[in-house]
Amino acid sequence: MKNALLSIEDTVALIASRAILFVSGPEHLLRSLPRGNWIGGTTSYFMTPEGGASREDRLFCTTFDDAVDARMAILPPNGLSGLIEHRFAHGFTCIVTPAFSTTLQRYAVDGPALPGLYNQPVFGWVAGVHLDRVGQDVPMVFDGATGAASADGLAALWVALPETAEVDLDIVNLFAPGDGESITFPEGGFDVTNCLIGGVPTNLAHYIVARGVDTTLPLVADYAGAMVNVSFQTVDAENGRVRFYAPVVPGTIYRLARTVADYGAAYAEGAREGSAADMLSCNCILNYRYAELEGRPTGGFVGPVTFGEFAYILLNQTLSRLSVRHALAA
Amino acid sequence: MPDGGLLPSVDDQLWARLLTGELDPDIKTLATRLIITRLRIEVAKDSTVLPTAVQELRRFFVENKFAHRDLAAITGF
Repeated sequence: MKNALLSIEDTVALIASRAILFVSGPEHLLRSLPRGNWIGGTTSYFMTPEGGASREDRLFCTTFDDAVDARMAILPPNGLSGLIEHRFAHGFTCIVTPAFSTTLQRYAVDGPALPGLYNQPVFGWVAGVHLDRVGQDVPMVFDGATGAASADGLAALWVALPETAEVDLDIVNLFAPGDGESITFPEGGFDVTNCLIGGVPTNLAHYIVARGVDTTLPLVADYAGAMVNVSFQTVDAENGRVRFYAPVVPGTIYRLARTVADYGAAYAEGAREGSAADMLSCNCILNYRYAELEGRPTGGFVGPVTFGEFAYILLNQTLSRLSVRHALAA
Repeated sequence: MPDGGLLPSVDDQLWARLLTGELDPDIKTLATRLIITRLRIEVAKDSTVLPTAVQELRRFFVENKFAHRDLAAITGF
């Protein structure tokens, strides 16, 4: 697996070489790419070896030189089971879907229960736009095989690996549950009115305003050892509504987050024994903004900065990373 | 362990203890963490689904060698 932030000319040459690629970048560059073995999605932000950066003249390309085969497609909102049906016997799946899309909402809610989802790594991210053009530009995804572009589909790249290859998919989270009271929700979804805080029925929006809660910090739930965030999108105190970037799940115990003090150390630990620069990774635009990552390296991780991340399920304010290791053949 | 022969059977109370949260081992693999959490939520919502949840989790370990690193923590062996 190789990562590089490339010019349009270099990306075209890579596609012409029949490389299998996951591409991110501005829409006008993605639209100008020729057909080939790639999928892509829009973003204007990247993690680079020199730190976070916004670029309109480059595409971030991950080349899967370990792959022995690949196929790609754009799945409609009602066709997400295809994600499982089309995968190879041994390999992994990359996905990208537009922010604010029906497909994203559908996958976020229904994806976790797709039969067989956890049998093979599913890595991906949510396509976005430049923060100055939210509401004007539309996040897009692309299927390089057909040249199709979509504002409401899920682009999938199924990658086949040799049997000697082992895939590791994990997340790096800068947050942990804080010491505050538990927060649970009687109903799930992206939009919330009421919840139980310490077991007491409470309007969440009113609670946030009254307590001056810092909504740059997410809610965090402990998923059997994995810390899973749900980030605040808007708090509408007048109408008593809170909107999140990912759905809350009934029966899950959330707490307001505390920040991991040293994000650099957290990212370095996230690479474990591997080289972060050689991994497929993405990081959240909210970390880019709130942790002020522009111009600051992220433990060697490089890749797109995104409007949401996938490691099987939809994540917020999280770095998702996938690595491939080759065991010695017997 | 392709046929699951060395796994505790579906009747072993270990699975129920795991899915009700009574047993909370130190799981390392992200996929295992997520499937256990999803099944725990389903079981907490409706305890009658426990048998099918146990079958699904056991099948996950039968089918996925990468998850076997978590078995020692779960079974204690």
